[in-house]
Amino acid sequence: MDIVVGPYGMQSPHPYRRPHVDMYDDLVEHAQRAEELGFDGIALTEHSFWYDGYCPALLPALAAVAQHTETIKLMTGALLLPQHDPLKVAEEAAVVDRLSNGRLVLGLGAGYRPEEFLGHGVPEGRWGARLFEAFEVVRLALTEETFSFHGDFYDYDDVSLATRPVQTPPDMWICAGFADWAAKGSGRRGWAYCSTGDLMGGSTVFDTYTEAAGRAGVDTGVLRRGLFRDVLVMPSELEAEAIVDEDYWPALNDQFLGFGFLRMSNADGTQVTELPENMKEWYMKHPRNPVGTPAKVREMLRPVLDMDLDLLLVRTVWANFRHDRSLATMETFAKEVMPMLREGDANGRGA
Amino acid sequence: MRVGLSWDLDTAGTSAAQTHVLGEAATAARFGYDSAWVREGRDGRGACSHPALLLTALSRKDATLQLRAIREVVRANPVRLAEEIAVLDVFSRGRAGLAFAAAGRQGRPPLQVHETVDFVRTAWAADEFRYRGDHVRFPTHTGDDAPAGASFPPARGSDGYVPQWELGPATPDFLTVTPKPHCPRPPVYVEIDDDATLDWAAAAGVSPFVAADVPADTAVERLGRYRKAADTAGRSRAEVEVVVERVIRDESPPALVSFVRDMHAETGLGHLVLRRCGAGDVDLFRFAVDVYPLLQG
Repeated sequence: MDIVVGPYGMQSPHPYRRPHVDMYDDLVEHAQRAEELGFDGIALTEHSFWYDGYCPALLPALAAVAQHTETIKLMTGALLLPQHDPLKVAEEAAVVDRLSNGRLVLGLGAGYRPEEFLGHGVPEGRWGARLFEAFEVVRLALTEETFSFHGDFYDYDDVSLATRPVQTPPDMWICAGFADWAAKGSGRRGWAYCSTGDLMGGSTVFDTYTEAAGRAGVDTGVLRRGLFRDVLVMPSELEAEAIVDEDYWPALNDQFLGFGFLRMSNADGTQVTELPENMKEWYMKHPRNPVGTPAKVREMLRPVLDMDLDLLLVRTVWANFRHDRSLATMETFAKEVMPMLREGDANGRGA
Repeated sequence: MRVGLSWDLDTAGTSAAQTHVLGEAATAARFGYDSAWVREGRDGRGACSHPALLLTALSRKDATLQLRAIREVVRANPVRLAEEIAVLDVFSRGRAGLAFAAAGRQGRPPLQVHETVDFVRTAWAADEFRYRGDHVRFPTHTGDDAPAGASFPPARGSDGYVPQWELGPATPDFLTVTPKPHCPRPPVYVEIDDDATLDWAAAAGVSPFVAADVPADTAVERLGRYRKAADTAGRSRAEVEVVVERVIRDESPPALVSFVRDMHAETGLGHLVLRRCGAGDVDLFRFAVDVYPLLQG
């Protein structure tokens, strides 16, 4: 099981602003530190048109990180593929894979904010179908010397990339939360699938994924499962609480409000503009979001060892966290939690 | 006088081109050169059709070079263009710039280049906005009743307006492109091969760029016309940077210095870019030692 730190969104939210130039400097330092600490990869995630400066250009950013790291995998987790030209994504991916000597991992998602599709000139609707088609275009472009593709959204004849990736193709994942269509669509195609887990953090999404593969006649042995977790671990409960109150929640609160999670109406038809009163407590105690001391986080993460995972994406920091705390939580995770995951993974695979 | 290097990735080879460019640029930085310019692969399948990607990688190998992407508007999504250069600018702490190839090279009308330049400059500088042009429309559903070019939302609260990121409407009429560049207005250049673009760029304060394949006498003539048009439009000469790209092979230092000084006197040339072609290129170290100092002052 690969353990990847991130994804980093590079946001600088209202309640906790940091200069982007500093955060991008930190990103390179974090990647180097993650490599030293034994993480298998570092991931970036994208969105557009959000006031906090969320990173919209993952592959250029990873190209820069590649210059200062040697072994750590460089993951898009996720690049919102339907909002891009898939052929350009393939071209860029090939270059990043070469610049990193074969370390690129392409996590590709659909996105869900209407404004992003409208802003990038993509018609609304059928985002999942568009994702699967674009994924196939990228896969073909990075695998075949020359390829043609004729679909509902994309149409290519005899296309070949001048730059070939080191990997043929780079590792590719569908990253799509817990949406039913994503689990089923990935399973039917036998493609690797990275999820947030189901609503309560459980593994029913992977059951759906496996069942869809089986029904489609896909060898379930080729399936690969990835899971995303927000994890905040510090040596003491007090230090963890400080990060939650001062770094994590202000950023997350901003994110909840702005990203359309609450773009819904009250009973009287007015727009919801405030988070529910107990949202913070609910979120922080949710089994999907381990927060606290190493012992507590180890216990909360233990169930993932039963999920037969190939990839665990752990967001131990956000780019806007205080720099010393960012490094501290990453280091605590690597030294106090990762060994349990490595050992459990090895035992599970051997059993 | 600034001196930089440029590479055209269509002619620089294929898979090995990126590492070659990164290596040569890093060497140039050590020798004191000022800038690195990377031209988009023209057939769209070049070794790297996204110069910003290569320049972002370069931004972390060196802390001094000005980083300039030379892009076409064909196949370019102007929003992505603005986003990519902004990320390059924050990664490089304000060293990014963007040049546009001439419309004629791309088989596109000059207006498409003008609108793309206008859109990108607006995206970097403005918060929420929309854009209605003949070739650029942002967001997609912007109607024909919107004012031509960039337009901006009413003041917060008036007519019930709420910025999109503060739970405004799900289908927004105005959007903000982020992140913003570290330098509020990264320099923008355009090739002035056609008269429409020459006049437009001069009036709009967009810096002129003359590519290596334009003959020297033509370059002087067009830059002279640009200067006159800019003066007529009331633009300050300090607003723009005149850039000329040349292939320099075996000219003797005195002849080259004389050529550059003459061009400077006639056109206001401020930035000489040495186009790298491979075999026969001028030696970077010798040029830095023998010629570069003579171009200053």
